[in-house]
Amino acid sequence: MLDTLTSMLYIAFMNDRPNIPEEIQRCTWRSLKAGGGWMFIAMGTSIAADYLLPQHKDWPLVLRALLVLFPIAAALLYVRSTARWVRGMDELHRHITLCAFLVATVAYLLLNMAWPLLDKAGIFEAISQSTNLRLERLYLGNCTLTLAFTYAFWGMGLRVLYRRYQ
Amino acid sequence: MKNRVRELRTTKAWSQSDLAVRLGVSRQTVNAIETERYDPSLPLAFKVARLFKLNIEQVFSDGSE
Repeated sequence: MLDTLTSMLYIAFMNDRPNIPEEIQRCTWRSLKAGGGWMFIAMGTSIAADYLLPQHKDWPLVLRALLVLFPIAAALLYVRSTARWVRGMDELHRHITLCAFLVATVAYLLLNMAWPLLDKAGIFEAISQSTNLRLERLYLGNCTLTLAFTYAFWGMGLRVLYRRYQ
Repeated sequence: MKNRVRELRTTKAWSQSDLAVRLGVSRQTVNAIETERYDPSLPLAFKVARLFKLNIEQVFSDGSE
């Protein structure tokens, strides 16, 4: 479990040195440190912006715009570090990783399309009646949720594809 | 695609890791090529053939013959 987590976290590492594919599977301090990458900064700042903006409507427009744009800038840096990471791979691992990204993108798009339909069908209402989960309140376009869902789908795709080529 | 990578590697008494180091790829990639789960790119196929001092057709075939 920890190895799965660290292999998933590894992608967020802010570096430009070529990676060693077999090192990804191991739980090392370097791979654990990867958790502090741009992706988590993007998610954290997005959560902060979501919390602060509705409470401080009197803040100057420039500050409000900066709060909204910072997670996007961090997400772009995450994309850059990911591209560098993928470029440093050997061809099989690059193939697997890019396939997993494709899986994650398609799965997230499908989820995004299915979400309002599930809401219209009354699924979320039924869930909220039996549990306290208010899924209809979740906005999937939110930066944090977009990253979290694509990251989770990417991790799942990666595990399946790695097994296929082992 | 069929290949003789495992056979050629064992004649040289190399482990998968040894071959991986010589080719500049991971051991998993060598294993996937040997078990024919993954077809290498043309540059990597040439690299393999050159390493064993053979033509690419002597290492890789499409399995039609």
